[in-house]
Amino acid sequence: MAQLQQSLVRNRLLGSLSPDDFARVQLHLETVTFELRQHLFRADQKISHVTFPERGIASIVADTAEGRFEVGMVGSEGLVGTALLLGIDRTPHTCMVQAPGEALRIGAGELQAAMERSPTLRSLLLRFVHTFIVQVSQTAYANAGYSIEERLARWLLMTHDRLEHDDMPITHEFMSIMLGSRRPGVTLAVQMLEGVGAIRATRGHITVRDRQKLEQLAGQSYGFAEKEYSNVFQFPIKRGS
Amino acid sequence: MDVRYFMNIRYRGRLISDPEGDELSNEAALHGYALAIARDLVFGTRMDTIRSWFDCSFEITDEGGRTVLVMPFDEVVPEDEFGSA
Repeated sequence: MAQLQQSLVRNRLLGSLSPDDFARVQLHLETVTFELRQHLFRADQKISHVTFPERGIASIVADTAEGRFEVGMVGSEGLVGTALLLGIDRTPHTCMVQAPGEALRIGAGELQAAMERSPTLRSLLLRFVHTFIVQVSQTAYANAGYSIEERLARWLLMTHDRLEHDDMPITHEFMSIMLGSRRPGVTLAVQMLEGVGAIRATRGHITVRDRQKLEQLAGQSYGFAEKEYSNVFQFPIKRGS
Repeated sequence: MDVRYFMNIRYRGRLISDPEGDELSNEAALHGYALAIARDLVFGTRMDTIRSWFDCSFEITDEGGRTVLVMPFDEVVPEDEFGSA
């Protein structure tokens, strides 16, 4: 099997490792596909791998008695399985694929061993954990004080940051789970966003037409976490921006 | 056999169509289902573009386009509830 070349890796964290640190993990990384709604780990079950998305998006969701809602979102800018980096082998959250693609993953034990041997590897990965905490805090802030139109604009921006194209295959049902809202609320919010020209909505698809409009609508709920990411890593969350 | 119902909303004269629908195993459950959704919207969903959820009604249709249930969101708060002395 051909050896994984760091220059060809799309995941930003793996791409910014030093050559030495990349060499430590290289042999243990395996490519996996991301199918829509596939579970990468489930609540309270042992997490077997840390996964670095190459293409596509994974969502971290929390299940409560009242329903399910999204806690965080990760694409090629990061990794899922942050609990393992903190020395814990399970989490009460579930991770599922929101947009299909592929990823590189490494076994929990292998990554933990590499992190023990390399302070620079450990430091880079933990910096991502920090940016992820900031993202989750922003989601809490958005859910507390913002309307569904504003939260939808934010969610579409975050999704758009992690996909290559303006056209995103998403149903209202899926968005209702991610936003923790009943579907009619999402349908109304989609109509409103379409009405102001921010998006175009067709059956099962949302196309971003005017990012600036979405940013205006999202207001302070979007941007803070994204800025922190680019401060920490010195490159933006959105590829090619 | 599951049937798909579309939870369209009538708001101040405008009809906002549900493009996806929900599957339910029987029509008798529809009213309770619609009420639960309306309750979550009224008490739990902050929307900028709806002046008041109580201006809304469900106009639920089946796959053939037949209207099977009209339910004003008013039903979420029963009339006698508030201090009838």
